[in-house]
Amino acid sequence: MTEEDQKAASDRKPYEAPKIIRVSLRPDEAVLGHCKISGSGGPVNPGSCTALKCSSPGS
Amino acid sequence: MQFAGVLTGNAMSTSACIREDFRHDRAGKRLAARIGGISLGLTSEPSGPLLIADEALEDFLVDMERCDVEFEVGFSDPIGAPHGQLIFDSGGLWKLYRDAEGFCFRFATPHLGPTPYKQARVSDDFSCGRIELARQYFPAAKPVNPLEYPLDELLWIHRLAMGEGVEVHGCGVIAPDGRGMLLTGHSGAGKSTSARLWSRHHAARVLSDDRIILRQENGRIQMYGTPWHGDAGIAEAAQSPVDAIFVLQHGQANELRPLGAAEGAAELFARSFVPHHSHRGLSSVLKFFHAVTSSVPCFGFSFVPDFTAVEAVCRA
Repeated sequence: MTEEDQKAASDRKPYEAPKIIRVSLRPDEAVLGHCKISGSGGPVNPGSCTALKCSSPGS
Repeated sequence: MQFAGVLTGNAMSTSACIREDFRHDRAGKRLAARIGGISLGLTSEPSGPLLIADEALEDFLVDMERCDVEFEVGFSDPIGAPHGQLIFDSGGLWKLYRDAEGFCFRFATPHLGPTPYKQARVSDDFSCGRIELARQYFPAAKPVNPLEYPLDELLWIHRLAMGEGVEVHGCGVIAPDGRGMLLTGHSGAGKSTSARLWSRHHAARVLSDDRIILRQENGRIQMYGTPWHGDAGIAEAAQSPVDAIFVLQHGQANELRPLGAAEGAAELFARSFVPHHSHRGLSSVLKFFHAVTSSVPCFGFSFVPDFTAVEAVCRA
């Protein structure tokens, strides 16, 4: 093994086995399906939804 | 200016009523806004409604005749049967259909029954379309906000997923030293709490307490404030480069844990708003997050809800 090969080997990162990482998903939030206040939306409730006082499904 | 809300016994406060009247005074046949660097214009048809913006959108309004995305707005009586194939059902307010001409978002609520109160037909490239309002639910004399939640965010999310960026659940802060910090988290993770803490820091600037748009510009990741605020009500039409990303979690102490690029991308993806029905869109978003976490350091951040959390982020 040449000196160059030895240096390359020592610079190499140690092997790390792949691992599975779990992340939590919140499908109800991710799809923008519901109003966080009334569970509704649209023109039926002008006092809240139509005025967009509720802009997101949880914040 | 009228105070109809007060005179008719409406529960609105006087100040809220004045704001509402002020907004109605500004109703017109054209509305345009720019969010996250993407402009969207609405033009009401001759027989269409007067258009009005949500209060939170006002800082994002622009005076543009031609936007990146253009919509016509009109009434429909009633909204007809859907065209094309159902490709996504949110389980809530909206469903998405696809046909040869493009996409169609249809909105219905249990309060009004299964008939849609609104639909938005959009071209395949999300550059133009038409919003139809069911006449029976929208009195002609009353100004209408056609972009009412969730259509506004849906349009931006889909347009961004065409390789332009992504919207994330996050609080964006410009620290006193000028560094841009993205604090991302699910509902209840502490975004609005963090925004309030940072707001007390006079030299800091908060772009949003709930929704941030990320884009890559000139080789740097930029974050934009949006009008879609959370409980702290912070929505600023401004932008900043992102220098660090923190995945929020309530804890017993302030603890920062560096995340690898893959883990950071996964955590961001879990807190993003993407077109789940679109393979092309998801691929674009994953590629984008790879670029984000390859260039911006990410940390898991367990924090306590006091000012020491701000100091911990400033030291990172």
